[in-house]
Amino acid sequence: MNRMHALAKIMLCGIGIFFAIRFTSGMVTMTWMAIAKPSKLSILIPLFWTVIIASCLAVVLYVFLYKREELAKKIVGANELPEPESQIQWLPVAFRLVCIAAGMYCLHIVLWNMTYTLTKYFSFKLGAAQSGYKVLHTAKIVTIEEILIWLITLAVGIYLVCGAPRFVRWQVKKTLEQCKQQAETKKNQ
Amino acid sequence: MTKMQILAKTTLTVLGIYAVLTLCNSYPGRFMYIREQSAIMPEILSLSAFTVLAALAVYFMIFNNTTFSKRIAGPGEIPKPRKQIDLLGKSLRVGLVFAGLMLLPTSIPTLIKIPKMFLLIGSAIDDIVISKRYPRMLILSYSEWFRNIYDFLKAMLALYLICGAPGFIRLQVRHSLRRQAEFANLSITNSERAENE
Repeated sequence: MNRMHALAKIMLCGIGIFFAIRFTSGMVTMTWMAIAKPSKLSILIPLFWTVIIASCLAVVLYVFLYKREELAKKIVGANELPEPESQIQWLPVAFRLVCIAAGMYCLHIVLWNMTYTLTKYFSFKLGAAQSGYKVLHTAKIVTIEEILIWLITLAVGIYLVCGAPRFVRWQVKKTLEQCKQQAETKKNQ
Repeated sequence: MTKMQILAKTTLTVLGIYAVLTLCNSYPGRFMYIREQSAIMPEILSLSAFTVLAALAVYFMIFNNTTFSKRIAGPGEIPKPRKQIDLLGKSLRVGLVFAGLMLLPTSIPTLIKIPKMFLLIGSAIDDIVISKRYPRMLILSYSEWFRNIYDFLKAMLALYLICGAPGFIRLQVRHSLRRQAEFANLSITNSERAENE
């Protein structure tokens, strides 16, 4: 097993745990719904969903945790890959990658919120145009606070997608300082 | 600890934080039902289940993940102790900054609300001192109270993680070193015993 295999195994395990967390949370909620609702029909629906979620959880655990060795081999391939050379500059690269991923997530959040608000606005307009429609909804579709949140998230997202050079430099500097301190502490012990 | 074990440890820590936040996110809804319904037993049971799961995630995924990470990564070449400390510190920092940055977009609304809260404190003091009544801004349901506390703690956690969580990393490195020393002592004792026999 080379380093890529081990890495693939860890990633698969991570994905498995991620979905396990989501499914466990959903299962507890469904069980609670089954207990909370006294009628037979309302018990059956959450119970059905609990069984479905539990099956999904079992499949995820089996594939991503128990059979991860085989899956990792399939992903990486059977041939032994050459070990990557020692990466001296891996820390800034890792921080940059992390920033880009987080930036993409920020942009996704802004895009999702904007699309949602626009859909709400246009569906409201369509409804209002119909004859015999009475405007009952008095709340604002979008507030200045929301626009401010979008703008900040958008700015943060763009900065992170650009690689956040200053932030990365600061993080690298601090990390190296911390590592130096820890090494000194170990030496003193 | 091998390099892959260190990587597995970081992945587990990040997933542990995610697990705790996901599980605690379900609390406000339960508090809402406690107020609205007369039968509170199912809510108490589900709350207990979420609390137990969150506690397990904190214990086995964030603080005591060494055994689990060893099982995930498997055996490998062990680098020198100094390099181990170096790698552990660096990889944990990268992982935690990533977790912090992922929490940031959902924490921005809370961070914006904090200065607004300071402005509202004035009117709350007015309500208490002048009007002698309970401040209107504090009249909230259990679920709203819990949601606000959760959002505030999440925002603070995001900021702490973006700053690199220095205290947590120091604690983890110290803990790992102690465990390694214990393991080394144990193996020395075992070899001595084998020699004596």
